[in-house]
Amino acid sequence: MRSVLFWFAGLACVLLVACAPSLVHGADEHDAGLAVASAEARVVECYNFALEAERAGANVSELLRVLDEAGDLLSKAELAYGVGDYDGAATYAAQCEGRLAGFEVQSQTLRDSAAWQRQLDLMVNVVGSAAGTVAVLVGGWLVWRYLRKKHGATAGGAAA
Amino acid sequence: MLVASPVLSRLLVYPRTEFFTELWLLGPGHMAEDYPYNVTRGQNYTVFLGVGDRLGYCGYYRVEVKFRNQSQPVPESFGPLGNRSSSGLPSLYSIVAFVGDEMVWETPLTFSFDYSYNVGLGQVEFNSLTLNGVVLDLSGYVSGWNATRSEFYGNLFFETWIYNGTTESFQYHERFVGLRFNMTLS
Repeated sequence: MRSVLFWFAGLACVLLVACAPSLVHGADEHDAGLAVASAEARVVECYNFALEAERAGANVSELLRVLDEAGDLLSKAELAYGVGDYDGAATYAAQCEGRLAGFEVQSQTLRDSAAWQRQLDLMVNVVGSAAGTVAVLVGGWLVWRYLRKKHGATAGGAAA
Repeated sequence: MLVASPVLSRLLVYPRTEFFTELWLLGPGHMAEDYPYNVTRGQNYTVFLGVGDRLGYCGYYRVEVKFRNQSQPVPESFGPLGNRSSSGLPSLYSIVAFVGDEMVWETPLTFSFDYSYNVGLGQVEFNSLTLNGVVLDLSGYVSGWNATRSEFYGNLFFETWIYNGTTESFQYHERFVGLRFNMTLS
């Protein structure tokens, strides 16, 4: 019984020693690869949010600045992964995703604000301008009609 | 006309017909001059890389940093856009740039080379390129003596790739800029 216990204890020690490097290093190739792929996907997702905001007419300078910073971290993660620095790759990938935290909310706020501003702009400029044009035309026509009537009456009176 | 001008300004807009991307490289004085040519080992050099977006939407660009000697493939410079291909050499580093429509993006690039001269083979053997503090491996890259031009040729170039939302991948954007060097032995 005791020898069996010793055998299991020995096996546990061997397994612990074998696993020690991965426990110390943290990220292995697989984990780092997943982290980098996740960061790449997140950057693309956020880029699409920025595109939507831009299409709505928002000023996306601030969003692009954040994306640039995240992109720089992503490049470093890819480089680290390429040279086998998996810890570095995982760290840079995590920093990249961290930099993009709250990006969706920020871009949606900008997009909604731009959409509202656009609507307001449309109302003031287009509808207001069109209504003004119609008012000027109708007003001009009424003045012309009034003057014509007055002129006609005066001319008629003079003729009589 | 005065009252109608806001409406007219929306109706009478001349449509944009040309959509393209600009790519440039400026020298250390932020002008198109004084580009480094005679390069010394370990010496820092600075140039400015810029991208201008005229695509009608903000672009997600990757500028691939590549290095070649005289015998290695260069990206195609001629022929109509749509048929030009990239160099096929591996990228040393990707510079990511997000550029809004009608906006420009520019960054300084400070670089230095680490290389040695192999007397027996009469060639320059590269070790690394340090670009903005990032060390890039150049082991395996060599440059032989070009007697015609009296130089050890080196060419650092930058290819633009752009993210295509339809294919969900990057595609070569058919633009590149580069710097030609003489790797001096001093």
